[in-house]
Amino acid sequence: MKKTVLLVAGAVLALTGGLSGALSRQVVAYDIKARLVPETKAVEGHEILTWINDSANPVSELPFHLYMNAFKNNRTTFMKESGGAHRGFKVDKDNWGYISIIKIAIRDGGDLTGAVTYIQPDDGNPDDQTVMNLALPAPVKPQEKITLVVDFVTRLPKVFARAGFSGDFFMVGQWFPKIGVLRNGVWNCHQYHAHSEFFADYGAFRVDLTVPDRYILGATGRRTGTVKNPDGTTTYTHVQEDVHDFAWTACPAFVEFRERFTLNDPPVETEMILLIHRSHLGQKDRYARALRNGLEFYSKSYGPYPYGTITLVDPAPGAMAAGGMEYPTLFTGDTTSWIPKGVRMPEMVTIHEFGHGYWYGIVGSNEFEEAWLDEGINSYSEAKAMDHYYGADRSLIDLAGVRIGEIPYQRLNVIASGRFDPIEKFSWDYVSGSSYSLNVYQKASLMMLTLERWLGEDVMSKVMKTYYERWKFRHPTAADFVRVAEDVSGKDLAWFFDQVLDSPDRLDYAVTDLRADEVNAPDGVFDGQAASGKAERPQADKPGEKGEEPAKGGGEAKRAKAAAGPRSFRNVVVVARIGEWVFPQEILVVFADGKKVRETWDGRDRWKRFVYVGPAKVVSAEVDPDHKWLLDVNFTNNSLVLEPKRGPVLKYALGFMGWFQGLLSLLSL
Amino acid sequence: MRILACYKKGIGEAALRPRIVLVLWLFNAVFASLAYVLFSSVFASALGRSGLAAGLMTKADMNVLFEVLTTSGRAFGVMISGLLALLLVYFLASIFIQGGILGGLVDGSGRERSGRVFFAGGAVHYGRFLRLTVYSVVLWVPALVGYAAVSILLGLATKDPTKEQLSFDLDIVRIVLTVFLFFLVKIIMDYARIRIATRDTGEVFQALVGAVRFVFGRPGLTLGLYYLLGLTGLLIFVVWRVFFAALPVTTMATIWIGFLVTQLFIASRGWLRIAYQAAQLANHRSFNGRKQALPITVTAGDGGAIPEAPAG
Repeated sequence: MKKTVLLVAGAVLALTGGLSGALSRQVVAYDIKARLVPETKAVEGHEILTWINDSANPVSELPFHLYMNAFKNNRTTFMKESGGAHRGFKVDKDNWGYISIIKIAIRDGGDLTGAVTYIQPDDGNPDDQTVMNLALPAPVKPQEKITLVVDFVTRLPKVFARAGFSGDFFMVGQWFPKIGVLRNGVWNCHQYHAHSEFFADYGAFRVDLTVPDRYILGATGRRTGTVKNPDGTTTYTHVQEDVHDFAWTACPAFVEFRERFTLNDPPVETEMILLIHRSHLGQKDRYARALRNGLEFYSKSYGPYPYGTITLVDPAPGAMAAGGMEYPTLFTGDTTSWIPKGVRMPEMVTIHEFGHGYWYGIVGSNEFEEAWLDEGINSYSEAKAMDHYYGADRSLIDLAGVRIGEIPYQRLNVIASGRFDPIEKFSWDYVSGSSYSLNVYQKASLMMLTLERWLGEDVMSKVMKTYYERWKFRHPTAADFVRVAEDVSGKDLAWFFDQVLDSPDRLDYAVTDLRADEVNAPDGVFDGQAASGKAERPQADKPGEKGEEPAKGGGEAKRAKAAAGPRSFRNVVVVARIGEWVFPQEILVVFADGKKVRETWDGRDRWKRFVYVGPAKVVSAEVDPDHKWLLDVNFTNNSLVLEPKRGPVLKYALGFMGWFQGLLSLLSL
Repeated sequence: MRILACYKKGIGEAALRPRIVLVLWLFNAVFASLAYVLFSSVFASALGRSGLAAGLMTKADMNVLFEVLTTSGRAFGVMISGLLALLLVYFLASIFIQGGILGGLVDGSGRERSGRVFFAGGAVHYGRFLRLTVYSVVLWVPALVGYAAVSILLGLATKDPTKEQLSFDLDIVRIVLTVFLFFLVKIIMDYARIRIATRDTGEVFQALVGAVRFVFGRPGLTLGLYYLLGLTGLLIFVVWRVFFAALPVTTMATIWIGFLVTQLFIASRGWLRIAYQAAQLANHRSFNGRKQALPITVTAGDGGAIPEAPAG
């Protein structure tokens, strides 16, 4: 008991940021004792929460996330929105999940259990109990602290959405009463939605976890104590500061691997903890290598990994629904015992989920309201890391001659999508789950990659480092990101972000016409003289010079003149804006004599024509020749060649024919 | 030893029929050329005069190919519908081929290698073999039921999701079982056709029942012979793939070389088809005596006139 009092005192000190070395403004401190009861799939918890009113106004109500109640029945907001399924996994109706508040009280004060109500700030669904509201007997004044004591029992569902159990595997996330975030004097505490993740305030956690002896346990933070209990259980103590959540896992079939990871530039010293399920031991090296790659790439690209541990949890077979999820200093991977090496899903998931530790963990993005700040920036970071370590053209799949890179894969998702939603939107307001994911993951990632190619890799690197440095252990918004990008690049980027973030439209520019017409000698009747084909050739003002015409209207501004010499061509290139977004464009025009011309166009009008008169025919024209605008939904129409070669079509058509012949012969065997 | 003798007989008979191999290849190529036209028109219109196409000559960039497929998904969807229709027509036409091959193999007139006998055989047996295809439902249904029963049993063994590797291994078993059952039905159908052709009978269902008895009466022999020939086909396939893997298809010349070699491979499939039927015919005859069907009489000018044959 004395120990508890001391620890709570320490946590309170930490709250005020007075604890030396604290990286964040620590608004909360949790001291939790929890016991896993595998037989009933329950966690019995005792939580002491200290919260500081960091606003300028008194606060008389405290909202709490009770996320586990999302799985309480079929009428919760999560269930209604998801239809009882998440990423293809369905709810098990024999194993609902919920959290019961047994008692809640102010420490050394009155019992407030009777003051608990449930609120539904997002949709008013009376069956949703994922947000609990606690009316206080007296307001908490600015900069004043309040300490609450909560007894609760969390019944874990059969895992189908991130947290829960499967056999003797337990993934315990979003399991304790977690206070909302007070931002600008207003509580930010959303319900648990099908297509959103989480948001919470930074603080310090000290958690005692008691599990049966045979269980191997992993949890957020560093382990500071292990006590064997006489009842056949073991209590593990985990401590972590500067995080906004705490998750843990337990399974007797885990094999634990520990490995030091060190980096000199920037300096990183952390311990990799891999909890690999026995049936996946063959995957351990893939996991470990990917995690090392992630640590190195993110530390070098954004900032040194600041925590003492990073724990990778390999979900048990049958518990894949728990895979691919991030928590502070702990994340779940995803693999099977038989997945081929050329299918880099374990690597991609490992790097991606580790990366969330930066863009959700260290930079505390609000995943309810601006999910792309985490998912999109992280998908961008992960794609760059995957390309860096595994090769840009094969970072996702390199199997039996089939090679697919992550960035082209992201493009395919965006190309195949509809245009219902913009990137920036509340997570539950998207038209569908697929619209949510393609916007906040892939489209946002392509937006970042596009920005990088526009600003240049060096500038973008500075943008990302500055954003990370400026907003680590804080809660940024999209406007904050834009501000950093503009500050660092010195450019007004409103035109870019206004379109891409807020509009569901598309980017598509095309070369729609490419012609090379031979300029004939003057023939017919001209004012003041007669002319024939053999008379005299028109002289060019400047041979080979392009004649540029006005973008709008059908008439040509000036008459093209033939160049001197035996033959002359009037080369016409028309580029057009097919999509709604307006992006400045470069156009590369190549002539038969090897000459190359780069044009620029502000891209505003629907089309623009370029005319070149000279002795050489135009060979090809390409808009955005460097493929800077990865958001362009159709690269095939970006270029035209005057005389297409038959080779490629013949090659693939004959190849296809051979394949089809094989199929026919199989059919008649 | 009987397997090897039949195998040898089948290979030898197939080698003696280059003209029939040519007909089979031509038959395949005509249908495939329609597929070529469909694909090349869709692919060419999808890529148009795009500069992206140029890079595809030297490198099969899947990222570009997938982008083309995605941006022109509708056109490729229409193409696939067309190809499915083409496959159906080919399937119906291949029944004619089977009749043609068997017509020649059982013909005792001394002109069994002629194209006319092939076409006459195809014509005379088409209705019978088509009915046989319809009746084959009595084989497919039990095969499906058998598969479902085994699959349910395997499912019970993998109910525990933690047995991930076992689940994967049993999925392989399912695939092997599917292939086995598919070929088992094909083998029975082959012998049913042989019974129809050798006895020149319209009693198709009885032939099917007889074929079932024949195959299940000597499963080692019938399956062994079939898979031995299958192994031969697999070896030819491997040789073709190895050649292709070594051929850099990056110039017009190598594209055409690759195409010609593919045509040789396709011709070899026709040859293999003949070998299958000849070997199985030899096997069938070794148990049933030489119940020779009457020769198919071919009259110059008006095609083939098929005399009445005694039911046997």
